[in-house]
Amino acid sequence: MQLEKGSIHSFIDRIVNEIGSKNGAVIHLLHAIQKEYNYLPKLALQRVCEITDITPAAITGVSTFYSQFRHTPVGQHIIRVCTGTACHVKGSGLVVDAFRRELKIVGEGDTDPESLFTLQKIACLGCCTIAPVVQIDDMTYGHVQTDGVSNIINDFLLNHGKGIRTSSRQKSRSDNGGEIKIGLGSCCVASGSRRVQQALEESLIETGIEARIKRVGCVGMCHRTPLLEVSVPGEEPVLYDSVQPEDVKNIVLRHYKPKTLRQRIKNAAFHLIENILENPESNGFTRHPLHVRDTDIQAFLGRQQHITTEFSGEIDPLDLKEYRLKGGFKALDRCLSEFSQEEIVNKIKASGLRGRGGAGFPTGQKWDFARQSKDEKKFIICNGDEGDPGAFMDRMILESYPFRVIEGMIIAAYAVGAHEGYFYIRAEYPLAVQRVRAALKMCREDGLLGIDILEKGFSLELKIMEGAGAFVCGEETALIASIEGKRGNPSFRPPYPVQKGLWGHSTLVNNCETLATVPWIISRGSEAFSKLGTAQSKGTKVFSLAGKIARGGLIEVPMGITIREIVEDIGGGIENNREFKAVQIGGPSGGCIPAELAHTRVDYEDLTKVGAMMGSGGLLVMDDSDCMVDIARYFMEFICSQSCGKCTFCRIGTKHMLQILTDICAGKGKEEDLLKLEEIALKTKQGSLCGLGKTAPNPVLTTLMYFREEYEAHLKGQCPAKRCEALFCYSIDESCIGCTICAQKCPVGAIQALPYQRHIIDQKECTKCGTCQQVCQTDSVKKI
Amino acid sequence: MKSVNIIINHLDVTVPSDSTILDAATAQNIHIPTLCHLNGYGHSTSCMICVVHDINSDRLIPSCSAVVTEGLEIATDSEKVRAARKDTLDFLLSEHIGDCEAPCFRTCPARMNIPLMIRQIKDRQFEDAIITVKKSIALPAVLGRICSAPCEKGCHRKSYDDSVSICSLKRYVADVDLSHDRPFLPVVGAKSGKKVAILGAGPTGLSAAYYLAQYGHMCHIYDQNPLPGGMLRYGVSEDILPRPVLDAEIERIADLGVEFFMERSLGKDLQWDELKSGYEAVVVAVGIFNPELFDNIGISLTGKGMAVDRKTFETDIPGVFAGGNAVSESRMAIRASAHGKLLAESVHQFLSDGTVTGPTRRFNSLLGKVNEKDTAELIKEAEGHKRITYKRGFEKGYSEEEAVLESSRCFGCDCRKPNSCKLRQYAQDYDSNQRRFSFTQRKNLSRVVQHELVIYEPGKCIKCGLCVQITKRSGEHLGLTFVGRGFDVHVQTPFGQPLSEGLKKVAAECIISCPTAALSWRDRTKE
Repeated sequence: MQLEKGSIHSFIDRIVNEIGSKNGAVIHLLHAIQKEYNYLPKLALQRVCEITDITPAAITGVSTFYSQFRHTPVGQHIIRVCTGTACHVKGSGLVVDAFRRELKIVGEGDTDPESLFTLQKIACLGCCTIAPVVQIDDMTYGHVQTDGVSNIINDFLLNHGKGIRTSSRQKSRSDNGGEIKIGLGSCCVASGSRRVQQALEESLIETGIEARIKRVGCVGMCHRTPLLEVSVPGEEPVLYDSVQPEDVKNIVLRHYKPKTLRQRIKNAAFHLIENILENPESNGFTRHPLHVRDTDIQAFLGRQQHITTEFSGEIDPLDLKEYRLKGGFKALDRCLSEFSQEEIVNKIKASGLRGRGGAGFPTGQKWDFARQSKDEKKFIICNGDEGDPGAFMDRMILESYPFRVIEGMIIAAYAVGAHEGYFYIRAEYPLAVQRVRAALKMCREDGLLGIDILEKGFSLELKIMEGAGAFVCGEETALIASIEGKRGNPSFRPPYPVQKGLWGHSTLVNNCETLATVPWIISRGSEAFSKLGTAQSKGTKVFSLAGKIARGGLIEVPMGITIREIVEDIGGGIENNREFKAVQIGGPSGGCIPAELAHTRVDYEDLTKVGAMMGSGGLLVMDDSDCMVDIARYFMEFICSQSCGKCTFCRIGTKHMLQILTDICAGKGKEEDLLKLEEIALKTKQGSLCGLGKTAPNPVLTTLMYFREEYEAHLKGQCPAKRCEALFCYSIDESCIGCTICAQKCPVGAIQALPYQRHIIDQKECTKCGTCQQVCQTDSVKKI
Repeated sequence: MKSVNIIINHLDVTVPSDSTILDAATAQNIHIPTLCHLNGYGHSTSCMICVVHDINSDRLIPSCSAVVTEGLEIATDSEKVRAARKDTLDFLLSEHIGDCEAPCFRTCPARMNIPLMIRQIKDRQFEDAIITVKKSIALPAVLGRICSAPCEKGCHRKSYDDSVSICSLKRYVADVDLSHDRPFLPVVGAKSGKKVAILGAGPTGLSAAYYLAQYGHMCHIYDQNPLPGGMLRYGVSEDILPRPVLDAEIERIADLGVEFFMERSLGKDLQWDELKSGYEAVVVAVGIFNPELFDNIGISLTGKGMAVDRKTFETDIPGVFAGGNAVSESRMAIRASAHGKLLAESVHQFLSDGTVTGPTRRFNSLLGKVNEKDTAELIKEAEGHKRITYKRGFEKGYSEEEAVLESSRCFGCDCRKPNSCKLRQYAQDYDSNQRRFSFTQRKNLSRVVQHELVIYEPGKCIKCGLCVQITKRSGEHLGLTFVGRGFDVHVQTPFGQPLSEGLKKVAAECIISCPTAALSWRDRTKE
């Protein structure tokens, strides 16, 4: 496609006019350009430099720093394979290979020969409970298996562009028929809840049944999405999980009688085919049978305590009226009318709340520093740049409780005297951005933001800044640089942002979970919060529970709960009856805690003592099929791709560690490698400038500490978990009945079809994609 | 201006409250190494070499960025600090793509600056070239005919086609010099009044005398043969080494005031006591010797020859030095000659203040083996033609045109900032080990030779960002920018434009500020 200079210029002129021409506008402009052209044409960037303050050096530096920005044209559609931690342990690497094979992408390229699809690996889509996840344009597929990729491509080609039709039903229907709640968190949407919603609307129109459809935020039970709850007046509400569009009508008809006789007759026939739905055929991606409300859901919810996620699964994320009816913005009202700034800070101090972003700095103290700053201009920033692969708490909070975060933010801004603020949200979370944007608009309209909030004389303006794909921007100084339109390089502290932050002014940066906890503390009192938890870690913590766990999802638990309680009681133990091996807590900054230490309490200090870290709250469970060396390598690869590259230790040290880990996983490790790895890890920890580098060695150090024998086995050429490709091979044992399915499905022709005979894998051809094992009906394919 | 009290290296000082630790230390004349720091520009806190130990918090903090606080106590040169700086350097050097000194220079036993000589030939600066040669080799016309040329074995050009004919080039320079009416004579230092006896007039003894004489010491060479030259005269055929050439070069040594005492043999017509009492130092440079004789003197022997300190060439007896075949047998004339040059330095140290440390070995970054991609970059600054052979035959050697043509084949792989590179200096100061952390596969060498004045070598960049800051402030229209992130981050002109477009105004400032040779002058004489 030839781009015309004239049209590019007029486009750029228009967006510059809309967005701005100062340096701070650069990332916004780049997003707009990419949205228009799918990549960043050089002509467009040059035009920006011609008509704005932005220099060629700045625009080049910034646009090459963030991984979302592309400088070359891409295919018509973009396939994003999530390589987050949960997806990684569930085989996303093989999924990438399968797509490459399917699309005939060769060599260094990333686009198929017909330029229809461009394949990208993405850090984490935050849909960890339905891993491995693949997103094609705006359609998301969960539980992807290697032999399912052609089905996915076909499904996409068939359905894309159809969009989700908006309902022709009138909104103001009577509520006599009760309501049907539908979860619309990202996991739900990724699992198809929008299509379920559409099917639901259609069913209700078709049958003439009167029931209100209510969108709710994340219920937390992401392992069972999409979720649908039917509440008929006078009956116990019933929750359906893993609902597919074709199931919807059936569900509706279980609870309601159609209005017309003709419909009744038609539906009687419909019930006959119900059985078919309960025996779904595998298409290589999600098709769960129906489940009704059961005891494990009770177990899942039982130990939880919802403070930050209060009214989980009950309220519509964007229903301001409902939020206010349930007590929302009362805390803000009280702060503005009853309490002095110092009193508010003292309440937060007394609550013992610590920063939920990872490091756990006492929130009240941070507020106090900001409050005491003499700077006449102050800023507040909500850090929603959740970057840990395998973590999705912030996404859920922003998507499901945008008003609560906003309320917390206004309170914080008031307490420290800030009148301007930003939401910094990962670009990978479009739904969160959309919801927060809508929520901000409603708040403005309702007098909760802007000038003279609630007529109490306090003013605050909040804006949204979308990230562009840089994990390091979760670090507060890097985040500030990013808002200023610079490369996301961290800088030395002090000065801390509360002293000198955004554009040189005092800036309070709080994680969105921290802020979402504030209204509860103000409403219920500091003591109610500090009563929960341990001596040093108060209140509750939200975790995203994923990996090899029976019931993954978003959970909120009191501090002090043990890891075992989370894994076994809430998570229902390990899926597929495998053995619990370890949990990875805190993502790339955290560590691996072995099952033997599962009695460790969730507490900032206790976790640090065992070498891990609270981190932002990613909790990934691993079983005996997970290789700890591979996990260490995985995180190091992530860190290497995310290091800003500024300071010596992080830039070079992490690369050295990755090289050693890659060698060990490939069976090329040497005796002295473990000592060298440990040495480099410790040096990098000591010498790096920012938190990213200082904590990056943690996964290596903890696995070396708790799973050294596994490293040693690799040095001897064995991967005990049979995970590292170079160290195992597939083999078909004597139980093979000769059905030939493996031979038919093998993408590289490594198995010859021998009907009724035991099949043999040609090891020279085999790419270890695992398809044969997935398709074998008799479980005859073994890793040896 | 408010001030605060701090302690630096146990010293109480009062400094302005807005100073960084680096400012405060500098004001006390305490040197802290820096790479990414430049006065007047913002600190980027990237290299981490300037760390100091904050004793109260027991942390290492970057002194260029950390501002002083009341009661701060700092150690700037403790063991912990030095170890951390060495870590930084070892890491930086693990990704440093380049040789400080070219492999020919490094492998030359006499440590001759070969690339410099080659460039002088290329520029037809033959009078400068002979100075370069004779700085390290006393008998270049001789060696130019018989040297086994270990320098050529390491030559990177060998990976492209054939090594540069270094030896022939050296011979050419020496022959041209000898053909003059007044061949080159080095400037001799002021007379020291010290006397050195040299046993043996072979390549080792001759070389030792040549360099000792330049230091101002009086040299007496004793030899059992009627004429000087040792093995050069009595072991090499005249077809290869015509005697007039040998005589001419020995004559240059005699011209420096070196005196020869021929047909004198130790233990017969020359007594050890005589030497010990008559001279301040003795150099044993005999090719063939009677072990018993030296054993009796008290010089310990090994299986191969006399036992000497490997660095200083000093024997057990203070003031007695030995080199060449006296310490171990070798047919390599260049090795024998090199010993003479190197031990002269030790002898000079001994005669000056008595502390003998031997020649200083500077830190050398090693590029390692080069592959096709590397040579494709290196050939950018060289001519692609094949090795030039003597058209006029061995007897005559190169013609001027041939020599110049051959010299243009040199890759010039030696660093353009061997003396001003801070990385090399600190690597030396902190005893860095480039191989402590090593990559299985290094990045490919890259040389941007597009700019008229500047050579840019991305593989030598430490990502300090000074050039990015300088071009930005100067208002260069394009300037330079960081591209990418993480390990792959590099400096480049925006929009992939040529370097000449990025560096229009401040090339000089960028080159001077660049702490390594990532940015350097194309014209090497500006270093």
